[in-house]
Amino acid sequence: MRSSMAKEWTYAIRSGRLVVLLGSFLFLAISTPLMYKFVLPMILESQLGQVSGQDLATMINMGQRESTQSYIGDVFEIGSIVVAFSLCGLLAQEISENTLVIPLCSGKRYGEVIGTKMLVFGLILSLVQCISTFATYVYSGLLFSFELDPGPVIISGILQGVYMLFLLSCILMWGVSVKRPIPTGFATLATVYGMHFLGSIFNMEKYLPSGLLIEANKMGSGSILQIAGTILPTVVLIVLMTLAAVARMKGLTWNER
Amino acid sequence: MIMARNIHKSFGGKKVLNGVNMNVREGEIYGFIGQNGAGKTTTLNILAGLSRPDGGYCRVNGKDTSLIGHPGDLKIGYLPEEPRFYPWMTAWETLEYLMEGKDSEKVLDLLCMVGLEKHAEGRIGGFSRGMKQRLGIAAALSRDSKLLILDEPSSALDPEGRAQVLDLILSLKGTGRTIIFSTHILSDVERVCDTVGILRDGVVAVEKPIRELKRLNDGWVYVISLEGKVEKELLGKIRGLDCVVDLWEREEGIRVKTNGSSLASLELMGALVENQVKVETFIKERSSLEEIFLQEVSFK
Repeated sequence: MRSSMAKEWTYAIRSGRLVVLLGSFLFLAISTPLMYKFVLPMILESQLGQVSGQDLATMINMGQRESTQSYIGDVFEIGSIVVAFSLCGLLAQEISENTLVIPLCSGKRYGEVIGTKMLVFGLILSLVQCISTFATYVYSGLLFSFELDPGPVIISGILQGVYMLFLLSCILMWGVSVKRPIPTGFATLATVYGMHFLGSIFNMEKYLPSGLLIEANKMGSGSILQIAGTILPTVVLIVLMTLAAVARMKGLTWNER
Repeated sequence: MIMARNIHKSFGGKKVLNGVNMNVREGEIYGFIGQNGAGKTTTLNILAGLSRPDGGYCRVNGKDTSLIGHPGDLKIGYLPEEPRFYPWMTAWETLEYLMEGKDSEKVLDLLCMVGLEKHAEGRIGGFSRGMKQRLGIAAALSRDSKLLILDEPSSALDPEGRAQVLDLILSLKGTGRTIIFSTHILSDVERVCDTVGILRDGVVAVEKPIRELKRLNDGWVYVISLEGKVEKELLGKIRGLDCVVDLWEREEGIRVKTNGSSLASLELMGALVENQVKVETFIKERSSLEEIFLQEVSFK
C-alpha cells in the first residue's frame, strides 16, 4: 500500500498534474477578486455611462464575501472541467495502455489500485481546494476589507474538497467502464452537471454532491444539520462509485491489444 | 503445473482458440510456438488469469483460473509480449513498487541479473524496447514465483541480449522453476526447451518433448542453391522422388527434407543432373525444429 501511494504521489508530481491543478485553482482564486475589484466596475462604468465606481459599489454588493462566493461558483462550473480533464486518464489510460498488467500480475489488488488513487488524489484535490479558497479569502480581504472569519472559509474549503472526492470517484468509475481518457472526462462532466440539473428541477440539490458547493457558498450561515444532510448522501455516492469501479475491474479482460 | 483442457476463445465472432489442450510439467521449460496470429498471446493471457476463456478448463499453479478473483492469486511471474511500464518511473522505482519496497538488495540483484544496473535511476520513458523487455523479465522474477509465463521474452533483444536471456532461462530452470515461453525464434526453443507445443488453427497440434519430436522427424535436409531461376517443373520432379518428404523454396535456393534414406543424396543429384541444372552448393544438414514446425503448420 505504501509503495502504491508513493507511486501515485510521484505520478502527480512528475506528470505535472499537481502543478496543473494547483495552478488552475490558484489562478481562479486570484483572478476572481481582481475581476470584482477592477474589471467588473470598469465594464459596468463603460456600459452605464455617468455612474461612478463608488455608486456602482453601493448598487451591487462587492466585498470579500461576494468575491469568495463567486470563486466557489467557479469551482463547480470551471473547476469541474479542469479536474475532469486533467485527471481523466488517471485509471482509463492505465487500462488502455496496459500499464496495470504487470502490477496486477505482481499481486497489486484492484482495491489497492483504486484506493490509493482515491487517497492520494483526493488529498491533493482537497488540499488544493482549501489552499485556493483561503487564497481567495486573503486576497479579496486585501482588496476589499476583511469582513469574514477564517473558520467558515476553511469549512467551505473542506466541503469543496468532499465535492472533489465525489468528482474523483466519478472519474475512476467511468475510467474503468469507458477505458479511454477523453470520453471518461466527458462522461464525468455529464454525470456531475446532469445530477445538478435534475436536482434543481426536482428541488433535491441539497441531497446531491453539488449541494456541498451550495452549502460552501453560505460561508458558515448554514446549519450543521443541513451540512450533514448533504455530506452523507455524497459520501454514500463516493463509496458506491468506488466499489462499482473495483467490481468492474474484476470483470475486465487485461492485456488487450 | 499447467493443465489446459478444451480452451475456446473468440473475438467478435472470430474463433481464435478452438479447443486448446496443454500440459506443462513441473520443472520443465515449455516452448510455445505458432504462426503470427495463431493465438499464442491469447492462450498465455488466459493461463495468466488476465482473460477468461469462452469455454474449457484451466488449472495453473494448482488453481482453477475460472475461480480466481485476481490474476495475482495465481502467484506466477508474467512477462507480456510488449511490457508496458510507467514512463515517468525509474527502473529501480518500478521494481521497488512491484515488490512493495521490501528488499532493496533484491532490487539490485534483479537489475544486475538482467543487466540494467547501470540504468537503475534512468526513467523508463527513455528506455529502448530491449531494455523494457529486460525490465519485464526482472518484474516477472520479482515475486519469486515457481511458474514463469513469458510471452516472447527474447523477441526485442539484440543477439547478445537474446543469448543472455536464454542463459538466464536455463539458469532459472536449475532453481526448480517451471517456465513456459512463446517465441517465433525456433532456434531459441531448440536451445533451451524440454517440451514444445505447436499451436495451429487454434489447437495445440503437437505437444511433445523436443527430443522425441526430433527423433520422430529424424531425417536430413539438403540445402541446394542453384544458378539461375528454379523451374517449377524441376521442383515437381524433386517433390516426386521417393526419398523426399518436403520441400521449401528459399532465398538461398531450395531446402529438401528427406526420409533419411542413404540414397537420398544420389537421387537428388540425379534429378538435378537430369534437368541440366547448375548447382552452386549442395549442403546436407540434420533436420531442425524449423523444418518440423513448417511441416506441422503447413507453411510451405
